[in-house]
Amino acid sequence: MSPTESTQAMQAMRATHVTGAMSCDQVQALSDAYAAGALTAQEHERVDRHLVGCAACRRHVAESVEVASTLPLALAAASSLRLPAGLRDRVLHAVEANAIDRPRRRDEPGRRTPGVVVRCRRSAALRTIAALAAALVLALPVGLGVQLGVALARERALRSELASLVGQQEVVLEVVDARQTVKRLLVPPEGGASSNAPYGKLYTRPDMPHVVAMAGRLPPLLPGYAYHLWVRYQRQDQLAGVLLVNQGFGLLVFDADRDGPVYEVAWITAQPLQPAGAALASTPSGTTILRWQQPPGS
Amino acid sequence: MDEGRGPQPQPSDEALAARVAARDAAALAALYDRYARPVYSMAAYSLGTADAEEVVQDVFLSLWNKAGQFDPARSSFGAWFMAIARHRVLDELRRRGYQQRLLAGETADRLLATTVDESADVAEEAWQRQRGEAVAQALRDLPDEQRRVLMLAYFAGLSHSAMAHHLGWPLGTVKKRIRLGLQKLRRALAPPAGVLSDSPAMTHSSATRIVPGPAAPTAAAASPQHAVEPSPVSRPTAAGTG
Repeated sequence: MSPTESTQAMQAMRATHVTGAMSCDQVQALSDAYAAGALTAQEHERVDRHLVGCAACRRHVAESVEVASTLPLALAAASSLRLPAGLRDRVLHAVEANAIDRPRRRDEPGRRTPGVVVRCRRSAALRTIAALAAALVLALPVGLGVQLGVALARERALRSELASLVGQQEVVLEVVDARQTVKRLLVPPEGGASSNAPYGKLYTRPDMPHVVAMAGRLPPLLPGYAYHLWVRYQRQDQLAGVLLVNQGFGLLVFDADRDGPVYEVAWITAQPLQPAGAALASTPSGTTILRWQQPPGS
Repeated sequence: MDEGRGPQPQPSDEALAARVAARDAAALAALYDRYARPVYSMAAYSLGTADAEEVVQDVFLSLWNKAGQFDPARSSFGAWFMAIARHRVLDELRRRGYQQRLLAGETADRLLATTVDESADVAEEAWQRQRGEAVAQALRDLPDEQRRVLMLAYFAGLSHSAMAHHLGWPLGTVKKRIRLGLQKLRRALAPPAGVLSDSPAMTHSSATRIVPGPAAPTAAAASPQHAVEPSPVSRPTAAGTG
C-alpha cells in the first residue's frame, strides 16, 4: 500500500468513526447525564468528540462533572467503614517500588487529561494500523495452505490492533475466547456465503453484558456511508452501533446492559451516516450485507 | 510555629498533584490522606472490602504514574482523580455481571437515603469530611427517585436505558430525574453569593469548591486564573460507535 493509499485508508476510517456529530444544545442537555455516568458508551463517545472542539460546552459540562465527583465523598461520609490498618503503608511502599520508573515532567509532550490521551493514542494507533496493514500485504506465497495462513494471521493482527485502538482488547478476548462464549454467524442474506463473500460473527457470553461483533471481507463504501449493526431484542429493532472498519475488517464492541443478551435477529447494513448534529440512525435502511436469525422454535 | 503567623495554609490538591508529577512521594501521601477513604468506600460497597484494598492501591499507583497527565485548566484534581477511581471500580464491577452492578447502585442509594453522620469517629481530614457530609445531606434531601437514578448511574454505571428497563420507568422520566437530581445537588452545594472567606485552609482545590453552610467561601475567592474545563470522564468506550 502506497503512502497515499495509507492516508486515504486512515481518513476513511476516521470518517467511519466520527459519526453523528452533536450540537451544543444536545451536549448541554446531556451534561448532567454525562457527569453522572448515565450515557451509553456511544452517547459518551459522541459528547467527548464534541467537547474536544468546544470550549463553551467544556465549561458547561465541567460544572456537572465537579458536582458528580463529590458523590464518593458523600458515600465515605455516610459510611462507618475504616481504611484497613496498614493500607497506607502498603500503598506508599508500592509507589516506592514503582519509583524506578523514569521521572515524568509536567511539561512533557503528550501531557493530557485521560480522555485526550486515549484520543492521542488512537491517532497514533490509526497510523500504526495503516502501516501494519501495509506490512501484512505479502507477496503471494506458493500453496493454498500458506495463503489461508496469511489471511488468518492478517485477520488476527487487525483484530488485535483494532481492539487495542479502542482500549477494549481485554474485553474482546474475554468475550470471544471463553468456553461459554456463544457465537452467531452472520452470512449474506441471499445465501451467498463463499470464500470471497463477507462474513460476520456475533459473540456473547451468558455472564457478561459485552457483545463483540466482527465482520470480514467487507466491501469498501462510498463516502458518507457506514456499516451499521442492528439487533432485534424482544421484538424491537435497535441500533447496536457503527462498525469501525479497516482494510475490510470491522469491529464493534458494545455494552448490552444485561448479561448474555439473547437477540432474535442481528444484521449489518450499509447505510448513510446521519448529518452532523442529528442523532444516529433510528431505523435500518440501505443494503443488508450480513444477517443472522434465531432458528424457529429455539 | 511563629507567634502571630497562625497555621500555614494547606497546599491545594492541584499543587500536590504537580509535586507528585515531580515524583514527590510525600505529596502522594498527602493526597492519599485526603482521597483514600472515598475511593475505598466506593470500591468496598461495589466490590467488597477485600477487593477494595487492591483498588485503592491500583488507583494511587495510577496517580503516581499519571500525575503528569493531570491538567488543572481542564478540571479540578478531585474530579479528575475520582474519574480514574470510578473507572477502575466499574471495570471490575462490569466483569462481575449486571446483578452485581445493580446491587452496588442500590446499596449506595440505601446508605445515602437515611444514614445520619456515622463517621464522626473516623480519622479523616476535617475538610474532606465536612465536604462529604454536605453532599450526603444534600442527597438525603433529594426526592427518592432522583437520588436512586443518580446512584444507579454513578456507582453501578447503568445507562439511561438500562435504568428504564430495571426500574420500569419511561426513558424520558429517567433522563429528567437524573437532570433534576444533579441540578438540585448543584444548587444545594453552591455557596451563597457575596460571602467571602478569610480561611484559605478551608479550600484544598483551586477549582470549584463545594462547601456547606451560610458562611462558606465562594468559588471566586481562590478561583483559578483561567476557566476550569473538564477532562472527558474516562470509561470503557465502544469500538466503532456502539
